[in-house]
Amino acid sequence: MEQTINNRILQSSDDEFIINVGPQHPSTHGVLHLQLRLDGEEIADLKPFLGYIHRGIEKMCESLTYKQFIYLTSRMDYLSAHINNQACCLAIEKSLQVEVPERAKVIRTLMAELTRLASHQLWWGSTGLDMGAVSPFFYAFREREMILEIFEETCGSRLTMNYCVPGGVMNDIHPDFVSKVKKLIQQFKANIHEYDELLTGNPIFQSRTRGVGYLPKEDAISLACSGPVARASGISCDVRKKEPYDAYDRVEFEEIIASEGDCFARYRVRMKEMLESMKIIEQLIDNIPAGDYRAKIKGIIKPPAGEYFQRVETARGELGVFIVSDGSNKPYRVKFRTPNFSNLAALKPMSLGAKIGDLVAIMASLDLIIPDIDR
Amino acid sequence: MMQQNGFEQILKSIFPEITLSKCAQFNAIELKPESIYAGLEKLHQQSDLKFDMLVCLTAVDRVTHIEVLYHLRSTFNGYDLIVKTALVEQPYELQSVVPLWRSAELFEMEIYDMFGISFSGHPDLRRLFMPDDWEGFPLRKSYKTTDVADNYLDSHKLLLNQQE
Repeated sequence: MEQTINNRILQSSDDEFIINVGPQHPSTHGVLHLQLRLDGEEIADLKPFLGYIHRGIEKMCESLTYKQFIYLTSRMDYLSAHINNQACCLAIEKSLQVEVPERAKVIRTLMAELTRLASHQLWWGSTGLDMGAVSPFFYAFREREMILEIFEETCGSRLTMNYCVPGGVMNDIHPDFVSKVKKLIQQFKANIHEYDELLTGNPIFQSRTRGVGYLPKEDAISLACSGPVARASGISCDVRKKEPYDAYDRVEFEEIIASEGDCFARYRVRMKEMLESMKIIEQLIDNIPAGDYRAKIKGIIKPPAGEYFQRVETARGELGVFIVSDGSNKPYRVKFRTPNFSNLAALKPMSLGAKIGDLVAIMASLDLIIPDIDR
Repeated sequence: MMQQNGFEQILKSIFPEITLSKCAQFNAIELKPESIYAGLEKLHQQSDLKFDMLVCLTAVDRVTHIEVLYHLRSTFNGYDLIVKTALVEQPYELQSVVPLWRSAELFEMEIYDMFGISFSGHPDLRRLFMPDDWEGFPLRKSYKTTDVADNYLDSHKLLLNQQE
């Protein structure tokens, strides 16, 4: 026991000291525990300790049926809850070889992009908050509230929507859905300049993010980073482009890539991604096909024995769902390859040699969701 | 299809006795646990393949053996490959691939925690999610979830009473 406790403490020499950040630290946006070895004000070593909100989702999935376990994934990356559900549904549909109606595909894609927009808006607000700017939070929540209201009308809940079901979506969209989404786009376009005026061009914000938390391309590949973190280091990795799913094959959008690899590059990538999401929504909102919103599938799902894999692009990167089926009504093994788990590893190379004050900026630019790491 | 043939040929040139199978939608090969590091090193370094990203590393308890799956990807040509290996005899042990891919560090810690496979050469192998004094490996099929919570509470009840 004594030995295991010793393992948990970084070794330090006389002129260095150890600092614990978290588990309850506001800038970790959850319960992440970091141990830092500091040389003066510089970070010399960093070690993450996880498991504070480990719920054993992968083990729980093994005792639930295929229709039930989908909704546990809403509790992983709760800001991309819909996209997580979508990944599970796509994997199950692949195993049953069900053809999803066109209408359901478009509705799912619209919801996924609205989720991404809401997630990036919350990130933008909390990034400002982490750097000491309080007002961005309220500006971000103004538009985010509109999106959550749209979700509430159609799905019945605001965050963990549980809207995807194998074969389509739970119910048809609300009659006001199209008009409200159009109003949202109009308002967001009219307000986006405020986002840039408040934070992007702010000299304090720029000096805190430019050249801070540099992640070279080779490191990002070796650490299997994905999403905006990898794209800001010059890796093309957007699953929506590489392996289009649902309605992404019929929309035109740009994959945002930057090469600087610092906190400001990751900020720019996410800001531009919001505009691309708007582009996708604009292309689809007038062209929702008529027809069924759900394909008919059996009450008890029993996929043929075998392995099934589906990857999607959540707001934070690549989510892979790997299902091993033994032919029964419950999955034999489910593995979630979550984006934050791999992106967390990038925290160490980014912060070594940085000042301790920059750690907050680096963590804000990584946009970590801790339940997605712990699962 | 042409691409698929070319891929198979390159793989055959590295591993002459290998048979290419499928795992989900990806190509898959199976290697012996003893030669896993040497095999993965070849896949990492071979100039035509260059699997420079370890996307995922996971395991499946098949009761008779534990299957470990390495999901490799090449950012140069977009190939995906699953490398499987089967661990039959306890204690389960594999050589760590952290020198090849740094993403393996967290993945191997998770597998050690959940399946009890130790990775030799890993820089910091400890339980990632579960408490340090936790008994058993949760994702093994022999692990019974119903007894666990009761046992854990019982063993800590004494401690709680003492504190009062």
